[in-house]
Amino acid sequence: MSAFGQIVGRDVRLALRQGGGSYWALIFFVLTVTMFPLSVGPDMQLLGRIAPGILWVAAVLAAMLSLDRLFQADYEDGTLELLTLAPLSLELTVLAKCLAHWITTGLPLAILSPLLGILLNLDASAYPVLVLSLLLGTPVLSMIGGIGAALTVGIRRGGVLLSLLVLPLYVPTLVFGVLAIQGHIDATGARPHLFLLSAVLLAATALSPWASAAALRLNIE
Amino acid sequence: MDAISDYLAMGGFAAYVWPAYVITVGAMVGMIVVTLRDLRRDRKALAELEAQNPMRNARRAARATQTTGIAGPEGDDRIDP
Amino acid sequence: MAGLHRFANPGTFVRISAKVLPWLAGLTAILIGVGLYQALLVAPPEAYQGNVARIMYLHVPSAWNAMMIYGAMAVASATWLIWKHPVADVAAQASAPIGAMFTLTALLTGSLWGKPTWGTFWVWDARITSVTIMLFIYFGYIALRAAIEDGERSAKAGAILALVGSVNLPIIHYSVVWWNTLHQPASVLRAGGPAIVASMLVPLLLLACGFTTYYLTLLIWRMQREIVGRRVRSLRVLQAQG
Repeated sequence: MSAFGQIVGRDVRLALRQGGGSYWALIFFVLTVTMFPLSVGPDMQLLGRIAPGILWVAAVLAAMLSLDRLFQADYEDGTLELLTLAPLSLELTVLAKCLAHWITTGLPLAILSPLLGILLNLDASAYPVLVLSLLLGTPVLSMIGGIGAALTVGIRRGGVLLSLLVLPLYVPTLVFGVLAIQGHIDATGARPHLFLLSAVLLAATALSPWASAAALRLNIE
Repeated sequence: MDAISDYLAMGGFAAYVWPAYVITVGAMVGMIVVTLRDLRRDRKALAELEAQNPMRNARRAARATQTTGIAGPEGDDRIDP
Repeated sequence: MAGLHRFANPGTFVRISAKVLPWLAGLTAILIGVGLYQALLVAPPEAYQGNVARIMYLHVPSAWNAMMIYGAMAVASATWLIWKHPVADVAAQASAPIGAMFTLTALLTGSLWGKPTWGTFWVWDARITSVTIMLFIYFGYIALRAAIEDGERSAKAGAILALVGSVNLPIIHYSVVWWNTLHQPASVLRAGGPAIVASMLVPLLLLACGFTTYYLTLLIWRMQREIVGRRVRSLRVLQAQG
């Protein structure tokens, strides 16, 4: 098993074992979605119309929830310093950790989302697009979030600052994700948006590890 | 008199035009005022600190701040004999 | 690079900026003074919108500066990352609040212009939305710099964030334009911009140049303050150590 795979496996096991981040983010996702009918009223037609937006905003918030732990624990116990000395380049290490973060938050969110679509009266034929848009978009959230987490890793109570840094950068992902679902619902087509979302995903995969690794190096030295 | 009040009325748009000018010019002037006040305060503090022990402080600060990027006083040469 | 390196020394910067500053400040005062006079008293009311279009003379230069300053900040950050010129970092840090201020005044004056012309203070137009997001990126940068005490770390973190932001801003702008054209096929904003005549162009250009020299003047003051402030802090630390 490669070093890359080992890091992914280790982080996934830790996230699941500690009964921590992963489950809470899912519960938070459901809870946030529940707040919307309670605040805008139980009008099913209205909810159906705004469901793509609600689901995506809730997913963005849930994915952000566990970001501050992405490097924090490893930073505190010194593991991060060891990882910089490992043969695997720090850029790939960061990518592995972001992948693990996605497996424990974004992936379950995407799988769970159709259930919440039912609660919000989302058009049933839109479920595949909903899941696909989240599958393409949530890895971007993990990777851009990784930059923010790396920049704030040494800062005490950096969680709020992290959201301030990261949320504006999430705008393109959110926009393309929601438009894909809406494009499917009003029959103008989801494809162009999904392509754009894929382009964002490719760009984030290529560029974000450099920024995250540079930010981590400055905090370790 | 009428010409002036006519002018101030801005063709009925006074409630929009004047606040826009007041906000923009006010913010620009305000930022200069705050910056200059802080600059004066910091310069005074620096002069006091250097007066307390000019030789030692200046040299050590110059050395210590090499890493944080800000080198010693522009008068490095002035202090060293 | 040897030539550039001379300016990297804060001492050199302090000396040169002290010589340039009075000229720059004087030029700013003249440009903005004459510009405001032209904008408020000489330029005719705009043909369709009337006097309310006078807000344009502040709104457009503010918006130009808001974007230009982000660009300057990104260039300064890159310069710092590559050549480690301390002055470049000071310039980036000193630019951010000025850029945020111009972003804010661009939004506020735009709002005040929008109410009488389109009947509302706010529309989710593509340009307004992406400028709003730029404001949050400025805020994030300022907050990050404030949160990290160590000079070198603060500088590097800020530089990385500024560059990540500069890669992202065009994508954000594009995504917002894309989102906007799908939601509002006929934007109110594009319906009728003011028709510019020469007598309106003069104050606009004067104020655009004036705002830019204002930025440079204030930038030098803020950089001087930052340099002095950093030395005060390091002297205090030394003193505390005894």
